Amino acid sequence: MSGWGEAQTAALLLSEVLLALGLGPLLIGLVRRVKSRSQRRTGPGLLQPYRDLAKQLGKGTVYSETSSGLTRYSTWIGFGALLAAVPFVPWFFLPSPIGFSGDLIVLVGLLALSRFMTAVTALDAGSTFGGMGSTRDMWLGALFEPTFLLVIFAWGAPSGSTQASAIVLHGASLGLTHLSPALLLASAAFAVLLLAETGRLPVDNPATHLELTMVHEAMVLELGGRDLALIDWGKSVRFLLLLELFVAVLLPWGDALSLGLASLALALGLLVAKLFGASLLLGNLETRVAKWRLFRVGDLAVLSWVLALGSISLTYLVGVG
Amino acid sequence: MTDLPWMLLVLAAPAISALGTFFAPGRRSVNAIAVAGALAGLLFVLFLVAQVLSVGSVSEPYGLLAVDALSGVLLLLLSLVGLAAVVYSVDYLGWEDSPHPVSLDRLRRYYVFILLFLFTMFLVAEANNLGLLWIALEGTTLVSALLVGFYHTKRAVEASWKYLVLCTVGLVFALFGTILLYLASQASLGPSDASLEWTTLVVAAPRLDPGLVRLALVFLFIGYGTKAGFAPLHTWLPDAHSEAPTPVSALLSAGLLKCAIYALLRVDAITLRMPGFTFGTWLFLGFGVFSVLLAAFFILVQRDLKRLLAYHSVEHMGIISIGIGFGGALGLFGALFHMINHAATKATLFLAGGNLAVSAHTKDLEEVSGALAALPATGTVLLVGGLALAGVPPFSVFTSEFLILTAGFSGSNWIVAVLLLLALAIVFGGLLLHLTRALLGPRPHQGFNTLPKRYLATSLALGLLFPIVVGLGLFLPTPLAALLHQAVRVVNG
Amino acid sequence: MSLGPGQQLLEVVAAVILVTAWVSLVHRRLDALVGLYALQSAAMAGVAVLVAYLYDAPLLYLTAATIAGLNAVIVPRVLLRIRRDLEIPGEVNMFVSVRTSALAGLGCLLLAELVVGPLTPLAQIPAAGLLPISVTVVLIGLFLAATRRKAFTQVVGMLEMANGVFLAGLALTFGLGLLLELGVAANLLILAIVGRLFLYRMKDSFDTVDADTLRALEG
Repeated sequence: MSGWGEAQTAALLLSEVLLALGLGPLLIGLVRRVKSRSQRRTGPGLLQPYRDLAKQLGKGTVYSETSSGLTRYSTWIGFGALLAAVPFVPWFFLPSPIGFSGDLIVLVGLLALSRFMTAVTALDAGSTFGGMGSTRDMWLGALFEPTFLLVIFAWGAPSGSTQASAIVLHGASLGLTHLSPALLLASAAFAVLLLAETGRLPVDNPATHLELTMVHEAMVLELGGRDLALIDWGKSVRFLLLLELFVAVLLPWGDALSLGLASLALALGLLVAKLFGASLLLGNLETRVAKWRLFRVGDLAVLSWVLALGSISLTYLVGVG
Repeated sequence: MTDLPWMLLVLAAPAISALGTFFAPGRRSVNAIAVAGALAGLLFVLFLVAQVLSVGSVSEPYGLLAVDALSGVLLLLLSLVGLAAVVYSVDYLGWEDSPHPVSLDRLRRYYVFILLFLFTMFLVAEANNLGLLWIALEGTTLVSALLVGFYHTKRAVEASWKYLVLCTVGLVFALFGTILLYLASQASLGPSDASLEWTTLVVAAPRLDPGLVRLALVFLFIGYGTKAGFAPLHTWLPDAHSEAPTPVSALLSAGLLKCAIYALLRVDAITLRMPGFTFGTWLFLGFGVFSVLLAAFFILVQRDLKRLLAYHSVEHMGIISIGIGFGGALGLFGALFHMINHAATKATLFLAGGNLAVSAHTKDLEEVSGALAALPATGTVLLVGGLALAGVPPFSVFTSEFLILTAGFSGSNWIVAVLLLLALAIVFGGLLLHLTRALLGPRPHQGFNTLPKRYLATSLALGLLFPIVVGLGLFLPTPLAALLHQAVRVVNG
Repeated sequence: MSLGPGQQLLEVVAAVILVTAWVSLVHRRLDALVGLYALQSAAMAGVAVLVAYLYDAPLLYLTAATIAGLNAVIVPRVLLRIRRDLEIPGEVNMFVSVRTSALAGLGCLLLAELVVGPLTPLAQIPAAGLLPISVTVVLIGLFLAATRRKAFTQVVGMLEMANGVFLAGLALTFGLGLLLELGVAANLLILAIVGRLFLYRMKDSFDTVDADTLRALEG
């Protein structure tokens, strides 16, 4: 279906996964860097997340006495689910090598699976904070995942497809008229959702040391070594996936349509530039807002839901999309 | 004489005298300049109306201003009530034992505001461009909000804030409606010929798109309807009327509300020329009936004299609106005539009520009793004016209400006419109850002072309006009748 | 009717205005509300520039400059200053919950779409999709003014309503003509001054600018 040969498909898939694994920690480092700079701190270097991962991977693992042994597999499954989700996001070439109609919905499912695995891991250790964090995280999932699906439908409305590459290709073919009120509303909804799904401010503070306010960090308090590395790495990949989906749909131009070296290089460069730009914006935003009380996060969920539904109504009721 | 630019002089009179009062050295000169300005306004309006009666309509080359018989009616009642209010103010603000003594500085400010208020209302009447009409009406809100809050009491601040917020929100809606109307003219006339000039729109009316005009009407009715005091948008009205200085209450009720309904009438004149378009009629009837019924019940339970009169204004705006809704030569004539009658009667009552309140030191109707015995002249005016307002023959309000009811029963909208009749009966009872209690009851032990020493100006003001209340019901001067007939034709086409 | 990229861009900027209006429905900080209004006004200035460019109406650049200077910078600054001077607490107090507000915002959009959608002559007007958006912004501003307790928030709501009206006036009718626009602008300026005066006076008389305390006059 995709038009790529078998060898090409394999090579492209591999490159996607490697790109995601490699670029994820870098973006996390970049956001941290932006935050520390705008707070007038020196902060850790750009590559600090890689060093952390290397350090954790080099350590042995210790399991809690109450652990059932589930933790040995759950972190791997969660990480694997994220890696499996990588090809469903449009990267720097189109069409996607294994794309099929509705693949974005599979993406939502895989992200939910990894969230579930993290929560299970946290529960398995049997500590209070793990239970609290996993409750909160599942609650956030229940709030934002339906909206995620709505946003996908809103994005898919102009092309009539929920396949990532079809949406992006359609958008790119429209040129500047791709930008529309409906797209803007849906993307705003997704931006709110992105903050919640990736545990950024004002929903969750990734840099917090106060256990009571934690969501994600509370879940990983009991982990160390390889398991912590897998979860952290997975979290950075998750962040990268959602950010890339956002910029790919909002700015669908410049992807390579053939395997020419020049076009691939250009597309890769553009991809990195878009992602860096988005990370800079996010870092700036995070320095400006404070964490909201957990119960107010529901307000954000409603806002996101309303924006997504508004986008759909614009398309179908007045045809402004 | 008829070729002088009366139209501009009418606007200039209050504007220049506002400037004059600002620089006037003492109380006497402030008063004199203000009265002169209002008087000049009335005189110029009379000349202007004469001009309109002879040539039909007057306009200036830029299309912003135009005066026809309809504007003439409004100008006439505005300038008349304006003069009465300004003259009354001379005494009202000068009384030493008035509840709120006023320094020279504040006196100046008061007259500047009230004259500017007159100016903006004149501008409403003369505006030909619907955008300018909006600007002028918003101008009236701003100036009159300052007047409503003129006494810095808690209640006055509250009333003026409510007034400002509600009417501004309303007028934002009206601006939106105006823009939609412009959009409609753009859609049917093309971008180069599109216009907000009433004279153009009236001619182009049959080609306007009904859907867009309907949407525009909704916004315009909510907007100007707020300002006109249509229920349920009237909530600012009793507060503003009761807390404003008495002459300002008279101007609000008699002048400002008419300006808002005049704006709606202008729009109605456009929609009446659109074939098969009855939406405007239904809006007028709906708002009218609702206002009349709601006001009737509030009148029954009201204790404060000025709030009572304010709810009466809601009721009468409803009556006028129903008259416009009935339409036809008879209904429109009745509505326009009622505008004049209600203005004169209501202003009289507010001003006489002001005398009563100053003398009795309260506006509470339960505490006032035996006013007729204590203040024979003021009491008589109140009694006659109150009866007139309730619609007792042979006063002018009765005549115009009768005309409107006749129009209703002779047309197909007899249900509305029955409802109107019902409301009128309730109001009649309520008003009679309040009047007899306040005016006729036994004289209270303490309380009534005699009126302050200086009352020449207040008497003059009442003397200006009272004959109209009584006289117009018995005898309609030919020029006025001609003006009204001509105004009906302006609306009806 | 297919739109050129310019008109499409116009609609996108209008959607930015809509999003700011929605976000202001869920925010609970007064200062953030003012910031959102400033952002919204900046977008309005953008609309004016786009219209001026697309329809070759150079006078609208002047309008754009006025909006950018007055509504996007001066008015928000004055508002923040008033909040500081009057010591208004920074929380937005509301009669209805944030979530209800957000849903009401969606309701405003749906209402506007249902009312405006079927209008036939809109097909002949470029960028007609702006009409439902501007109606929505007006309705949201009204909702904001009506359901928040503080007089301060009422002012912000009214300002947002005015932006909604400007959006329609600018983008659909390319302005009402210079004289009228100046008149409207002057009126709004005076409104701001008078409103400010009353806010200070309210503080004097009531020691608070909570519109909720205005309860003396009822019935």
